[in-house]
Amino acid sequence: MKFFIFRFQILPICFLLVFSACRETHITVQEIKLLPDSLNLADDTVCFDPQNKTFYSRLSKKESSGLRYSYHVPKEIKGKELYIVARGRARTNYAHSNTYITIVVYDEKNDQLLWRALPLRFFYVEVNEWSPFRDSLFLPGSFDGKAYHTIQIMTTLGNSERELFDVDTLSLKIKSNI
Amino acid sequence: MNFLKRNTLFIETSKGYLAKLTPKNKITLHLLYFVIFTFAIHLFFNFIGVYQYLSYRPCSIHTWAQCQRASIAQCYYEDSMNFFKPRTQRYTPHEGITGMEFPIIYYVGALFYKIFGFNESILRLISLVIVSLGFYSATLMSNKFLKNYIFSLIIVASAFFSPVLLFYTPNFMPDAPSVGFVLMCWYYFFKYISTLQKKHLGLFIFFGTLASLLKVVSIMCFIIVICLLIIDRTKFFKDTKNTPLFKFPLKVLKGIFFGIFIVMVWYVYASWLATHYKNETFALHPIMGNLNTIKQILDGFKYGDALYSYYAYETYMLLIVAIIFIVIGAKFINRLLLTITILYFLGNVCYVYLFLGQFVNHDYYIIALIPGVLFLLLSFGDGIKQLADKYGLIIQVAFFIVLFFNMKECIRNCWYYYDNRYNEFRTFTSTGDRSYYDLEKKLRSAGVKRTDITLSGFDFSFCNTLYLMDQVGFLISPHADSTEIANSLNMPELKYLVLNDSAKFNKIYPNHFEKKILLTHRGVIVYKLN
Repeated sequence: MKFFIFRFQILPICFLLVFSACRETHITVQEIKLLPDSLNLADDTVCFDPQNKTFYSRLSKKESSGLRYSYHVPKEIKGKELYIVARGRARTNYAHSNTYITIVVYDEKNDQLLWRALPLRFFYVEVNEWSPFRDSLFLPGSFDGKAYHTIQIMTTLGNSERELFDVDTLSLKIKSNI
Repeated sequence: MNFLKRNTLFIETSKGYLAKLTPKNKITLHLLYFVIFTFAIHLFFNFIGVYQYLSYRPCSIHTWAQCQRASIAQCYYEDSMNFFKPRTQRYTPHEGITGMEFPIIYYVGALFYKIFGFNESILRLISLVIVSLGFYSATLMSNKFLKNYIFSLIIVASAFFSPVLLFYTPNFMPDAPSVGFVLMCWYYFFKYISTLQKKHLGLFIFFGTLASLLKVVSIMCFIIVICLLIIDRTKFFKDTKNTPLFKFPLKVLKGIFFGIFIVMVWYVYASWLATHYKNETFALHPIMGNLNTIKQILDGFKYGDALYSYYAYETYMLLIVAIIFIVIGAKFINRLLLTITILYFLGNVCYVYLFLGQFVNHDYYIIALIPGVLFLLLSFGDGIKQLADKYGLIIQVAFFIVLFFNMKECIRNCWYYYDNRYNEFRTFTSTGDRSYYDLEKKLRSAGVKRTDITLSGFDFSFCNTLYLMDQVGFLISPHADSTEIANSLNMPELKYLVLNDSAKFNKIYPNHFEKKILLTHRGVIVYKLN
């Protein structure tokens, strides 16, 4: 083993092991579960599902939005990359569904910086049946050099005439890189 | 160390501990090298998340090209194991037979499918193993010059820890495996010139030919050796004993020409297949660019993340320093290494010139340049080592520290970009593909056979949707007009229509297909036509 220890060959392997333990990751900075609330409605209505005995939010008009959440980006994570993770259960009656979880980002002056949408059509295995969904959106540290101030997340129904979009739960996680 | 001594070959200047070892100890040493390498590469792959994404279907960037290749393996497995008639799920009048680069990886993949059942991870694993063995060969090759295994490992890591290369390593494309074979080819080349054993020459030719068959640009290694043969005639590489580099130049030349002949024969055959079967799937000719192409590439560097997805900032700095060092301190560097580096540089310039048009949107074209980077860093390392021998070990220690921290940044950069390419946003760049990943099971349970001719719309790719749902048939492009659609629908053998946008389809081609809906799945509607 002499030749091996010679010329500092053991040391780098130890370094490799140390570095491999120092993997950077994202931390959750906000976690929230949105439920249909008849006192806090947007364009949606709250309905009752007798089969599952749960309430759900329904969007039936085109270009409307339902469950909403506004997140004020705290100073500590301004300029950092963010991941928005959305999960829940949804239902539609249209095979090529135009339903989305929409994320709108504003700056300090309340000017809109970004408009992004997570299409839910890829999650409906069958029409008129509840399907679980989970998707995430990556937001770079800033847009056009402007830091994010508010992030609004909502369910939206796009340009569909007779589509019914139901959501019974929407869990949101906002993750930031360290 | 005098100047003359620097002109000698590495094997004759070797005064390291290897020379003093008995054969038994050498085996132990090589075993130890292999264990260290396997451990290090496994740790690295695990760290950046290679194993995590091994089971993923073709996704993220360039799904088009990924599906094309994966389709070849699946069609071997499902349709015919005739090696000389590779085909895809997308039909032309001749059932999808197409000309392409040598499909050995896909054929081997299909053989494994026959044994273990269809699983795309197998194709990813084959590619991963080939590239890993290539890295190992590169480490052994570097060790011949640097006489320090860990030092060699870090040099190799600095050259190959490129996010783009690593993304395409456990993937479906032939670019990364081709580089793997190029590295094996170089390893056996150096082994041959030091041992003069026939088997090493044979392996050099074999791996060089295989690399070139997979990606024709890899033929550069043969062309460089031909140049070395010519330069050797001028006594440029002669050592103190006045022995030339190539003791049997004719033998080497014969082998190389044999390899080149095989490559040419295959590509002529591939072009004939593509023309004869009217299915030109793969680019089998140069695609040159112009000034606008250069502007587009520079814009990609400026506004996109292209630059750092090739290498970390620190590696670019290291490469600049290496170039400066080579220009200033050429006399300290082994002549053979230096010549190969210069020839690789010239070869890479020609390659970029001929395929400039592809560099705009095809990040994987950069992979073929990477062996040149290895030789650049190896020359740099060799020069530093010679300086260290002359002026003290401290230079080598300093260089080692720089390389070590460069490697750390490379690993971090690789992890960042690798993870980024597989995040949910990037994974489904071709958003439409997402609907088809698990459609096959549903189709089969609805009684749809794989061989039932299917028309799939709208798909701008070559065969993504057909491959992902494993149906043979035809595609409707997003720009298709009513005549095109009518022609496709009038095919007598057509059985099913799969649409991801029926509203658009109905607008272009008004119909009453709503009565023929067989099933719906993740935004897709399947119609039974006949």
